[in-house]
Amino acid sequence: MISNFLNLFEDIFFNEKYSSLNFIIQKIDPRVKIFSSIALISIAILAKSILTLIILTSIIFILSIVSRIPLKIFLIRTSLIPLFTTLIALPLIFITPGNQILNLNFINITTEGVHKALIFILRVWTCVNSLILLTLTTKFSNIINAMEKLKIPKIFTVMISITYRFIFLSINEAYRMLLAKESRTFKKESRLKEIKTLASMLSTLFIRSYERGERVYLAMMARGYNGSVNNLEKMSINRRDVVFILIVLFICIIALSSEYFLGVS
Amino acid sequence: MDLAIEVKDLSYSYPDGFLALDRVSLKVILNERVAILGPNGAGKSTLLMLISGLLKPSKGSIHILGRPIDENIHKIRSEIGIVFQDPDDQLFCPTLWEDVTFGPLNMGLSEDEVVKRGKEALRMVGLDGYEERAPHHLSAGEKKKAAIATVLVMKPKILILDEPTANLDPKGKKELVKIIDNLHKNQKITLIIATHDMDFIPLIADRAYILNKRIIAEGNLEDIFSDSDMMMKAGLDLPTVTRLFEFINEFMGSDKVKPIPLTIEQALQEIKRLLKNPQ
Ligand SMILES: Nc1ncnc2c1ncn2[C@@H]1O[C@H](COP(=O)(O)OP(=O)(O)OP(=O)(O)O)[C@@H](O)[C@H]1O
Ligand SMILES: [Mg+2]
Repeated sequence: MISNFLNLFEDIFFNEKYSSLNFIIQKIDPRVKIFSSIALISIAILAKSILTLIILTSIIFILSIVSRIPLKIFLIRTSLIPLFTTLIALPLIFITPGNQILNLNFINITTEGVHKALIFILRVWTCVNSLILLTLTTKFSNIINAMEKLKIPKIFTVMISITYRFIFLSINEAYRMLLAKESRTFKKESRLKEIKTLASMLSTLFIRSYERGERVYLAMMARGYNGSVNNLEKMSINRRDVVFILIVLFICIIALSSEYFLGVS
Repeated sequence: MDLAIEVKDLSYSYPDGFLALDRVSLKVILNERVAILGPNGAGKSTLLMLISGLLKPSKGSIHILGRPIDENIHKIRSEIGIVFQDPDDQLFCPTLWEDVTFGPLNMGLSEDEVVKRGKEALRMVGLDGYEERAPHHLSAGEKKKAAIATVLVMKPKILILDEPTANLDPKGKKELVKIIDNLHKNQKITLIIATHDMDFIPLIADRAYILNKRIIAEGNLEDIFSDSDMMMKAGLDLPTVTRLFEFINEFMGSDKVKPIPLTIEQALQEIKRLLKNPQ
């Protein structure tokens, strides 16, 4: 049933249970994590060699494993976006001029093309990995809080936190609607039929989530919401955080210098 | 007599043009307990949202604690706590604890105070130990209790409850009556409650407004409930014991029992009196 799928979807993409575990990465201060993610992403964007990207991604994988995040969950969460980038990168294989590997009449595959596509996909994957590790190991309210402490403009933090709430609302709303529909469906339907019903419910779903969002916003106002998310978790930078950030910086410097000065490619 | 709430000639149309309230006026005195009664679609929830400053009147004015509501709306919001009819509108955080502490943190209270109040509010509604649960995974009654906790925690001067007993089990209801009683007597809170639960009203209110788009009647519960024709016309009913004693009165001829009891306790005393002295 689609409603089961919805539950699964929520569980895989929005479950916060791994952020309340207490392993290495979960213990790092959220601000340090955000900063490190940004650092890793910058390096991934600057990197020009496949090797560097593979090493960066492996480091992130190792970090997620030591934080006891199930590999399956991590992989599912991180591969959704690269799936689309693969589609986008595919033409690069054919249109980049260079050393031909395969030459059919009209299709040309070149080494340079394959190389470019691989770099592109790996780069996006590394960035996504880094962000997913951040969100998997940090409570959402802590991320927002840390962003505020890092002086990221309020408009961004408010937008992100409202969007996040809205996603939940939509999922819950969709779930309720689907259950209501299933309770009045008396024979087994084909997937196609189910999807069609879902599509016809989509506009209602949108309006319903929108109006519920509006009411939830009123509830937030009624409880004194003024744009900032407060919570009780204390943030303090201790030795562990300093060591972590030094390691990240060290990795970044090694990666950059090996690429630009030693010419690794 | 200081007024907690004064509503004058208030009309409200929803954005789609539907007129939900028509020239409503009402007054609530400090530390009073007032019930808003009316059939489905009467505009009770709309009225409560307006009083909390969450909707803007189309016409008319609202004063809270002597001040017009549109000035100083933020200050006023910290003094009014509203529990929505649908708890799904009220609970929006990933964990119940975050939801309960949301209001007090916005009020800028110290951390110790927030933790103390949060624990206390959860204990009051009987949800201690639920801190890390996801609000959208709670049962309907638990959600209602959670919603009530998220408002109690702010210790508002005026407490507005929209159908607070919906989905509560008998124990939950009794506990709610106790909480309300305590807030009213010890914290001098002002209460406004919208409900259809006629047996619940005499336990938590002294006065009532009958609303059906307009104010149809107003008065002490005894007066309101002795006009059963008006209540019927408004699509409402009387508390069960009140209805029973109406029959007894009819059966015994004329107004034998006056005032008509509203609660089981009052009824018991009346029955004892009748048994002791049948004439
Ligand atoms: N967002 C909205 N847009 C348009 N009309 C609305 C909206 N919300 C409520 N109404 C209408 O306003 C009227 C009053 O609604 P309200 O929710 O205040 O009733 P109520 O007295 O609380 O009813 P109930 O006892 O069922 O809770 C209803 O007829 C309803 O259809
Ligand atoms: Mg209502």
